[in-house]
Amino acid sequence: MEKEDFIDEEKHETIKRYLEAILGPEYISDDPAILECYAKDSSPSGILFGKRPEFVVLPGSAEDVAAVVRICNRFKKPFITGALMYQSTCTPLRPGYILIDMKRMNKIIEINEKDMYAVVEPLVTFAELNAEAQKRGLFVQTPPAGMSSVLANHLFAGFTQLSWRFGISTRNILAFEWVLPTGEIVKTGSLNSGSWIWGEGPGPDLRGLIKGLFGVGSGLGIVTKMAVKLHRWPGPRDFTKCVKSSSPYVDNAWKGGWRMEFNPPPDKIRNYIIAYPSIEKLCEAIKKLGEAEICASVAHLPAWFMCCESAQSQQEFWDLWNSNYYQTLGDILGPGIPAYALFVTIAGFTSPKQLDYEEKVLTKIVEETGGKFVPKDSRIYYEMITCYFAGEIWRPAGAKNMRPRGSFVPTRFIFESVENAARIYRYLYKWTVEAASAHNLLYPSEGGLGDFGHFGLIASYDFGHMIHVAGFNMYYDQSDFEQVENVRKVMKKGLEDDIEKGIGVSYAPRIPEVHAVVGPMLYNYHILLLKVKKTLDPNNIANPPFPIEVNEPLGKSG
Amino acid sequence: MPLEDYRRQVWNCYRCSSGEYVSLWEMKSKRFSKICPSVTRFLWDIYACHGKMDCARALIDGKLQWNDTLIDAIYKCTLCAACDVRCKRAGVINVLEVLEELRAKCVEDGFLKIPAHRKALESLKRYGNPFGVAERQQRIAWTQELEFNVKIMPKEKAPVLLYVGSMYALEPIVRETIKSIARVLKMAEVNFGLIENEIDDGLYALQLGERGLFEEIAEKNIKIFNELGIQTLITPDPHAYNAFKRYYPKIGKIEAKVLHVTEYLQELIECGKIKFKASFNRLTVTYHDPCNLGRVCGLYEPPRKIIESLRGVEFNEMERIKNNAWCCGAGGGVMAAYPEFMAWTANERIEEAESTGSSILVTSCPWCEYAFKTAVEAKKSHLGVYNIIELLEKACG
Repeated sequence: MEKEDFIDEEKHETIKRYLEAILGPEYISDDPAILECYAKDSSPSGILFGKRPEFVVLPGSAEDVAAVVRICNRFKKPFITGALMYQSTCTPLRPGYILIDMKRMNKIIEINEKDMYAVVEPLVTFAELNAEAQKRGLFVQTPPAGMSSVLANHLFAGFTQLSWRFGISTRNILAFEWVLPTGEIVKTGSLNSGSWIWGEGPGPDLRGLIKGLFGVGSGLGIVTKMAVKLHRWPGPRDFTKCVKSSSPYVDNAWKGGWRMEFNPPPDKIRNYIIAYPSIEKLCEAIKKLGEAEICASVAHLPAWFMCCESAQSQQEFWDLWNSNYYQTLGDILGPGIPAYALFVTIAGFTSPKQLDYEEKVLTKIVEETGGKFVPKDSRIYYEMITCYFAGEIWRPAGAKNMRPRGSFVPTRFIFESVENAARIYRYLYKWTVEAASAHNLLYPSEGGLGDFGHFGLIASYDFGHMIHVAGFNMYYDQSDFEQVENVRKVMKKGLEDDIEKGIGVSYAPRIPEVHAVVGPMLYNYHILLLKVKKTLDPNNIANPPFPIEVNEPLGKSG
Repeated sequence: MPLEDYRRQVWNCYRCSSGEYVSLWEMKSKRFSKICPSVTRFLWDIYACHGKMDCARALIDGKLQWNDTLIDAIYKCTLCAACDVRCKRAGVINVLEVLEELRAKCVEDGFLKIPAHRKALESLKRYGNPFGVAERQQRIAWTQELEFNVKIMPKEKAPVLLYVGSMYALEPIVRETIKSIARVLKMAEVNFGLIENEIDDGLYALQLGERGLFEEIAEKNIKIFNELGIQTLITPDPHAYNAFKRYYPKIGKIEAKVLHVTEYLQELIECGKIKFKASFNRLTVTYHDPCNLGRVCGLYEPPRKIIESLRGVEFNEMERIKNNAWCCGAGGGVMAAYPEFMAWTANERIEEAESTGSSILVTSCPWCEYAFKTAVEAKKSHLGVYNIIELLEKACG
């Protein structure tokens, strides 16, 4: 146990009294059983190094949050914020934090149908917002985590399958209300004039300070309300009317998994799976679709993803995987020939004529690029219609990547132009094979690398302005610390190799020391970031060491 | 399995929060988006299923000791299985089993100190019911209020056993239902009987964590049922139904076919043995799926088919139905130990029922009936609360 793990009891009791005075004793806790529930998340760092907070508090308003933050400043107590805490970054990695659980702040403040935005507090989930918005002919694009926080995800990049058309979620933020690390409450954009519609200026666009690929982890303050763009929902006002859910119930027990038939009106939404013989041809199709500015969603989903979606149990995942069915898309290009799947959704946002037009253009592009439509009466199409197309596009729930082993983490999120997508894909495949031997990781196996050889989700945004290659997921058992440590090693090695080989910077959450390595490669942004952090958070209490370590920011390179 | 055997499962809880919300694809509004009464009411993560998985993990690894907060969290839960079903969408955890194991461990480690639960267990041991009713003859006292005699086994024989259950036998608030059931069976000319000195099904003991007592009760009941020579065992109590269908097979085999009373009566309606003589006058009805009947045992359609067969009834579904149903709040020992939590939970459901515009809320479980009737009275709601069979009896004239 380190020296920091011991609590100064007198200071603890004093802080407790202050917190109780603001929130009431029913909304603060230092009980070990309650604290334990915030001591771990599913990230490798959270598993290996997660600590119990010293207090957990439940504020009910921005004023409550601000008051708590001022107490943190007074006593130099660091804080960290949590919403639903799905998929990590909300667990303290050091002792002595106050964890601000935003659970009571769960209101939809407004859905403005005319100007197409919604104002939400942190604990409004995508599913809840869509349940209300779709009734009004609107919707919020949703990442594959429909139970997660709308507000938090918009700070955290928020890639969705519809970002092809609507841009990644961070580009859909309008005005917001923000509690600075000093406890001051700031209202941005047009909010100062009482309107939520404008997020930029006056002055510098403050949205840049609160968002990022993986957010800033409340290291620059806490957003307590946010207006997000909504878009026209092309489907029926009652979404539940076009779904039919069925779940296997066998021998008086749920056997797991869900199947949902999604049957939207064909003049509103249509779905396609197109098989390509190579990733290069597939990426060429993505480029052309982007140039044509058609479709609602365009993504390459690898075989492992389809197995995760389709399998109703862990055993079924392995049966499907080992059958090689999804790797060849049911032998659509010939017996045993690998096929790469492009998933496309088109929607008649304006009218059925738009749908017909887009379908014609899509068909032409598929022909030009050598693709083949998977027949709609095929087993694969049925499987994906009942698992993916509704569930992962319009109201995604996500989490199915847990199927193979119980937990997973993507180790690479590489952003590139469409031109370079195939090159990146090939590089990652080669890296997988080499790294597997270098790290003595059995392939595939427990904690295996590379999504078992058929990986690399390619999603494209802003009509092909950029793509990201996500993968390879590492599947691991959180209870096996050796596997978890392997994941960290692979992530770190991956980052180092990507930088060395000129690929750039890939996914590296919860590794703040990355700034010291990457900063000098990218206009020394880390120096600017450090100045911003020190200015906004003079006492360094806003979830250190995020977004940058104040005490040793420049690392060895500094 | 002992709690330690769930280590890998509880460590791999991903905190996806699925267990707190209804299915995303079936969610119709924010107002009725939640499915877990515990975390919705008490807010701290420990009351959510992922919080309990964290506690199980920490108990197994020796990082947490029993304390009042932990005990409070694990028992302020109706074991409605919503989180279990929702987790199975993508997860690999048998959540309900872990929750049951936590309670069993609490008892084994000597920490079951909730007075209402200790009293209930003592009563089960001594009197064969959790309500402190010493006189066993009380269990069939309700039959005196019928217009006909009911066969009492084993003295009298019948191919069909009506297993009443402790709630219907002993709780006055739900007394009318069991009388309705007996009358409908009589009208349908079913040759049925009750057990003299019937004892509780024991699920209460299992749910509180007292495994040994449950096994003792189960063994006794299986012997009694099998010695009666019955062909069919019907029960109106989903808790008993759950016990007999899912837990008793681990102890021994009930030779008779086990049915919930709605399953049985729905079959009789379909083959014409129950005839309707009366219609309702545009009665607006909504139906609450009891957790132990619906989500846990998969029985959703028979009650609905009965409602739909009644003439003059307009059936309005609530938003959260079938496997998305919100619990009534009475199960898992909550009714006895935390009546205010039960009342809050039931009240949430009453509001949902009221939002359908219906005048009547029907269900098919005595625990749900109790929770809703007491909530409606406290709230002074206009909503009537009935068991489906009471409506069926009226329709039969």
